[in-house]
Amino acid sequence: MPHDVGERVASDAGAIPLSPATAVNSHQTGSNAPSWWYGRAVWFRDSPLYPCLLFVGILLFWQYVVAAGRISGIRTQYLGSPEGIWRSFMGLLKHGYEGVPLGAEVTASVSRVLTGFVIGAVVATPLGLLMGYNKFVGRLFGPIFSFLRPVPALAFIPVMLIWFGIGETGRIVVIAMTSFLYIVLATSAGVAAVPKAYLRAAENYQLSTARTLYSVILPATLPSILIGFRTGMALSWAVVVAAELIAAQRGLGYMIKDAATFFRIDVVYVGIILIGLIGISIDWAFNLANRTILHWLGK
Amino acid sequence: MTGSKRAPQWNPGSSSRPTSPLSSADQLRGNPGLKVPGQATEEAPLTDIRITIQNVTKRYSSARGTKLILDDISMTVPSRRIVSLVGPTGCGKTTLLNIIAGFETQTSGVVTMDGAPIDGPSPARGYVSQEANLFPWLTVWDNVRFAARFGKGIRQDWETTKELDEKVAAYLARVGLEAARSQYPHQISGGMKARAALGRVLLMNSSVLLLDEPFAALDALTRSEMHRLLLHMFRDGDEKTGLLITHDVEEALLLSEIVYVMSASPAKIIESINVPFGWPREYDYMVQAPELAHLKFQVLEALRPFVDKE
Repeated sequence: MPHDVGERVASDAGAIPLSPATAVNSHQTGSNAPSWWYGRAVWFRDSPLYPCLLFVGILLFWQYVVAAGRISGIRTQYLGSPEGIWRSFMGLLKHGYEGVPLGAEVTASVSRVLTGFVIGAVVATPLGLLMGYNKFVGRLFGPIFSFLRPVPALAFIPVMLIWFGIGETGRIVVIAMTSFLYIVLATSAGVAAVPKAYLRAAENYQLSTARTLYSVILPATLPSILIGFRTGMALSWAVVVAAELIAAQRGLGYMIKDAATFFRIDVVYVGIILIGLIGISIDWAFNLANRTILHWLGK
Repeated sequence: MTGSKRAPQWNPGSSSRPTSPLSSADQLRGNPGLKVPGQATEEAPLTDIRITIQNVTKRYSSARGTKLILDDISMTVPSRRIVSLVGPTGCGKTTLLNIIAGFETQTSGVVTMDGAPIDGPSPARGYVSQEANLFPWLTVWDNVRFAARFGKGIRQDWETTKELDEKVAAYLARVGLEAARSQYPHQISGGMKARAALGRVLLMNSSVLLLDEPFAALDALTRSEMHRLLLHMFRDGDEKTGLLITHDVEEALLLSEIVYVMSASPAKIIESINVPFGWPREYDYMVQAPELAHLKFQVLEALRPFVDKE
């Protein structure tokens, strides 16, 4: 049986289950799968057309249900409609909400988040670095932060109202606290995960402690810190809206709550859509910044 | 070879003039070494001793008891030579190197460099490891320059940062990395990373190089190039001394004057082999030498009982 070995190799190769990647290649190498399908599958998967179509379809269906007004049990005045949302959005752009320009409402929310986030990040980053670098400091602060982290920030808002009144301070403190807790966690965990080889190199060169922290541990931890920033920012954005729902005279959360009291459902939708869009934009901006800053990861 | 200035020798336990309180001969006497009949023992070409390791043991204690890692290790590293430690994976070679580097402390025994006990990491003993530990956020240029710029204990033979930059450029050229100076580590090959690590350790003015499998991740061709580069570094008269850890027996024989063979845990030195190819090394001759295959066989035979006992 001189061909025994070669035959076995061939049959083994045929028995290997094909992953999607190898399947795409296999039609070029002459497998009997229909070759037209693979190109289409990739195009289908990657094309932005289908999610857009789905979105437009949902809007059309919604508009149809409201305009027809025929489906029993649905009170269309509470449902709103895509057309109504568009009209009230244009109206808000032109006249603002209750005399306050829409831009001012957005700015109020965004500036609150930014202020709180920056305060939280500025305190959290060095403290997180220290907590990761120095075991004593880590054990000193760790339990308190672990205790506070799972408590919903909203639970603190009444406390802040009592401490700081209904002014800006309370809301900013809550936002700062939210971003702080997550950035501290991400940073100290990041320091703990710095490869030993880097620390050994720093020891080998006899770097000073400050130089080790600034030039070795900080850059090595940067990916974790930026993940902490991104999470902290997303949570802060969620918290600011919630905080405005409870107590505020301006901001997107306030606009939603106030419009809801007067059954201006289209305005509520505009508020929700704006919150979502701004949230996505912030996350996208952070993602872009991360990739620019962390180009050296080679990803 | 016999009759030349640096004749091949098989004399690990022979009579060497003690040039320091603990000569290499004293150290080697405890280890049987290879005996090849018919070869005359001549004076060892070893000069003064840079690093002495005397009866070093290392135990790790945990809740489940203590584990002996290094069992009574004694060895010496002569000046201006490379000495290798070969042994099975996980046998404790790296632990020993970490002790010499000052990253860890031994449980008992004495480690001295130039007669003084080692009491912590120092740039005098430059450490190069397998992953080359370049900082990924720095360019090749900045990686090579970093230690020299910020290290406190580094002997600085430059006055201004401009002079330092000239030196950086010179060393980059020496390890063949001029073109890659503004690349980041993720953009360069493993061989270039190894070159950068060697360039950095050169610039650190380390007189002792601790090499922890620096070329293990490289392909055979690149590794051979790195061997040439390393031998070249030692030939250039920088007064360097090297301690190489490897499990590549051929690499150990090609690069080093003495090969210490370690057993698996607890690690003991079971053989010490003087590699009779003279110094400085003629790499091209050595690679082709039939004696190399013979020596390689000897070392592999010594290691065989431990291969499965990791």
